[in-house]
Amino acid sequence: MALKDIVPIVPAVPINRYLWSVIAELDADLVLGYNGIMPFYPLGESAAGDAPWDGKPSVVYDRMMVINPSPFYPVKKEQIQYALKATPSDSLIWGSAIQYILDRGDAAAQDVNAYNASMNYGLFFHTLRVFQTSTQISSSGVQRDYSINQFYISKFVIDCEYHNNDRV
Amino acid sequence: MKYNTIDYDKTMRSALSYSDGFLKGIEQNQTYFNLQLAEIIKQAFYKYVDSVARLDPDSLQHVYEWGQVGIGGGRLFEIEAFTGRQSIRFVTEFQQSTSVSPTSTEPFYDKASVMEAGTMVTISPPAGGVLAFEGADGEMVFSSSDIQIDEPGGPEAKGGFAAVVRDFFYNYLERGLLNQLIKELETPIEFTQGWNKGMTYSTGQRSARRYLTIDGGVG
Repeated sequence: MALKDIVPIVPAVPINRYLWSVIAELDADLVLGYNGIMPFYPLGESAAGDAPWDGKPSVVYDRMMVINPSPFYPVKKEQIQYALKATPSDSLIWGSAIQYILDRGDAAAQDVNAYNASMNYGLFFHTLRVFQTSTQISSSGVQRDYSINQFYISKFVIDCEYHNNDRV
Repeated sequence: MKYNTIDYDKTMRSALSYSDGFLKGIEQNQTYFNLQLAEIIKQAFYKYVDSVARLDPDSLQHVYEWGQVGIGGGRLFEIEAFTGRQSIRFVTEFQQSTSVSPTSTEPFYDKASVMEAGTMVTISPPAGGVLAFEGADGEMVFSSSDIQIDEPGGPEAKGGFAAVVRDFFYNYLERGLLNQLIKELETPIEFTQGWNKGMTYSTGQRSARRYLTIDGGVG
């Protein structure tokens, strides 16, 4: 068995899978437009490869920090930062969708666990929260220069609490 | 039925003394608490800025050494905390760059502060020499006259760090870090843990110290 099959997977993976599945339920046409590619990339967009963007929204994510909320070590708390890259109108819709789907505390955690139950990721979520930390306007003080860059970057923090399970 | 009022009186005095000690201990340990909190906020600040830099390098590349955007060791900024009993004040400052860009032979020492301010830069060729640099189309450009750069670091570098500092303190800190801590402080279990036969003024003070000790941290 390889190391990757033994250690728990990072929390962002099951969260992104679940998020994308709900978006697919809500708007199947939107997901079809991505030709089977889930537009959530860890860090640099170079990981996106030749994904056919055509101006479509995408999310780049980063494991921002691990918070140790208490000395009870099995309970872990991690914050993932999402940079949503989209046109201004898509930013509003996607930002709202991310919060609508994930910012539901225990209920969202249960849904993420249920959706990924068959994947054996070695993670069990307790709660999920989402909050927006910036839009492009607030982060640079001025609107992005759209003649150079057609996209708008909004940042969200996904705050999750979980514990690890053994991967069988 | 008989009541042992002596024992009752002793227990009540002990409980009052313990409670007094706890309240006094809270007052005495305010600076201790703020010092820990300031350290956690500083660590969270570094993590936050590094993460934003990795996700949106255009706006923060200027506050890191060349080629080290989002890496702790490449930071050109520091945050200092000044802690008192009632307040914590944070001050950020830029440091000089010591690395050399791939297109230069000398460090751009004040790149963080110059690019953050969006200060126009004029580069002059050495006496009797020419400037050589890569143009926008990738071709080498040679010039014997001064070159003026209106927005060093690009348009998104100007004010980029200040904006992230603002986002951290106004949009992130409370929801991302402090709410959890406040929630824990709302339940002073350390006070009830010390509520026993041996309670005194000084055990109350010690319980307060434990109550104000932040167990968690940021990694």
